[in-house]
Amino acid sequence: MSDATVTGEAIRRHLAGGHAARGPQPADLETRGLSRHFGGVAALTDLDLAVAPGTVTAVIGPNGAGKTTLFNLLTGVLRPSAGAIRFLGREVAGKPPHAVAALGMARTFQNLQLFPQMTVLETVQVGREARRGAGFLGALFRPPPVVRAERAAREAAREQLALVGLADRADDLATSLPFGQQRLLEIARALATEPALLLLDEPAAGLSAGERAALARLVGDIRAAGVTTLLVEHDMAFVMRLADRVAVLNFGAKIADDSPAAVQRDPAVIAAYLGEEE
Amino acid sequence: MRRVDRLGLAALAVVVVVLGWTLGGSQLSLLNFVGLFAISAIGLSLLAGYAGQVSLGHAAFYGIGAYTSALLTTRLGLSPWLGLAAAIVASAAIAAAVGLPLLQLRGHYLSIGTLGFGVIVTVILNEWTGVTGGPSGFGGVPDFALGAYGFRNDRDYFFLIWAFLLAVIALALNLVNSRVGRILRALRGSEVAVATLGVPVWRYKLGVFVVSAAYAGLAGGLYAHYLRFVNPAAFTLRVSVELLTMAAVGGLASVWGALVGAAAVQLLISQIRDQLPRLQEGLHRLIPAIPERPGGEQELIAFGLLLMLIMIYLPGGIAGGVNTLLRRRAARPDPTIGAAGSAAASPE
Repeated sequence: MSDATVTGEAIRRHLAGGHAARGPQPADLETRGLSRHFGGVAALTDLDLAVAPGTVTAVIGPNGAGKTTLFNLLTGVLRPSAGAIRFLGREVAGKPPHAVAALGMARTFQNLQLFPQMTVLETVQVGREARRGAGFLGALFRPPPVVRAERAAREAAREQLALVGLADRADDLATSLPFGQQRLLEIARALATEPALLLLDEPAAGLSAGERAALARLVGDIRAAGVTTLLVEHDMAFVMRLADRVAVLNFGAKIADDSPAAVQRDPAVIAAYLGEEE
Repeated sequence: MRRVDRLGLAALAVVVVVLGWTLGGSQLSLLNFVGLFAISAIGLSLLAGYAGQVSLGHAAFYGIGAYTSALLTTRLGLSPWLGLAAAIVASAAIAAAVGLPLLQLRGHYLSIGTLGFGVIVTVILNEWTGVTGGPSGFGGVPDFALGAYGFRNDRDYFFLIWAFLLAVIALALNLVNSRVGRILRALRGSEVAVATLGVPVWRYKLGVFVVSAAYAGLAGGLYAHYLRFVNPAAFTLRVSVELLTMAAVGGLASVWGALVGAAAVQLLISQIRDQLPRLQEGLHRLIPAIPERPGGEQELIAFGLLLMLIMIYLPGGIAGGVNTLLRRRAARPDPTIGAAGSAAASPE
């Protein structure tokens, strides 16, 4: 490609033109000028990012590039210092996490956030049941409709587990699973909320080659199911096969945003990556 | 509710009937206090054990329940049953009002906040003499009655208190095995994960706080009519700590554990009261500097020492200890089972 030597900014302009050529396509998720500072440290600076519906978009970058901060901002765990986040046509910046999740955004965590003392099935069931009202009286007295709803949720959770290949571990403690399966369980829990957008925070970290291949297939399946996926990764090779688009962060700023093939040849990206690793 | 819980409830009901007909007054009186404390401790275990919110002011809700029912029945002549209902509602309502700001706090800060609330309630009970009768409280709280049958003696109240206890255990088991219970347990594991699944976390925290206060309010209402008398000394910080100890001794995240903990701590307190004078007499003969007769302080010291030993050697409480034993037995053929649970405790 001819743009192998242009900067990230030029690539972005180039891609904007490409979008116009395909006609207006509403982005599931779009950030404008998104920034977050911790004291004097800028974790993320002025990020414009668009995730088109039904695609797999990857955000890659070296450690400390601001990837997890981005996820925390998108999901409402952190408040942005500046900028806007539009999700399904609504402004969600500054909304609390549960309100953002209720609109159809679900995520996994780089440092797994599983529930100790809960079984695999219960973990997914929590995802399934999270968005219904609190209903303490129903829980205390358990009238038949409540019992029926819970049975239905349990069955749905079982199906969700089967999708990620954990059906046979349903009654084991979540934290007793091998690491790779714990990651799959977090994905199952997120999918159980029936999201429109799934955020995967370094899903391949710590996985064996075999587990990575299985994960890649799963992400493919999720995309085939019509769920838009944004994944943050440390490992460039892993996302190249999966992603429709790759945005590259370095020191909190976007340095590239293009197709995987173009990004791989981008000198700024190569410098950011090869300058410090491998 | 799981099958084992249903069996447990049925077995407990049988035990209650048998004990109620065979034991004498003083033993039943002890068990009545076990029952009252168990109701509160179960509420506290829902809050602390399942949702991970530790309250150091729970005796305040116990006291609010007791004074609400006592005041409404003695001053306004309300039926004790209505008084009891009002006790539950009042404790729950005050918990909702206090919980809104308090539950913004986390961990130790929340505990200190609830401790402050408990202190405020004790001060009000002591100082608002016109209504509460001040430090000496007031008596003449009427007994419960069912039609023509009046509840009078320890046996009557034993059946009443333990019937409520059975109901409260059943409700708590329902709660922990429900959707809400799962979310509460999940909250204890990872609040941020639960929130990003779409759960409005504060609503659940407030809900379980209100439920646990309602439990304490129920116990307080029963207490006032059982003793026919209320005074602030029964609802101080010391009682809050005792309640928490009961929940912890049983094993915080266990409804049955809270019952066992309430029984164990209550029996322990009475044993200490019985045995301490003899022990102290012996010590006095050895070391004359030790006074011949124990005061309340020595009782507290002995109680505190036992608490420390339990926390050091049985941090999961009695329920945790039993679970570990069962798991160890089950794990013998396959050492990987249960390893996750015991890994934290063992250095290897």
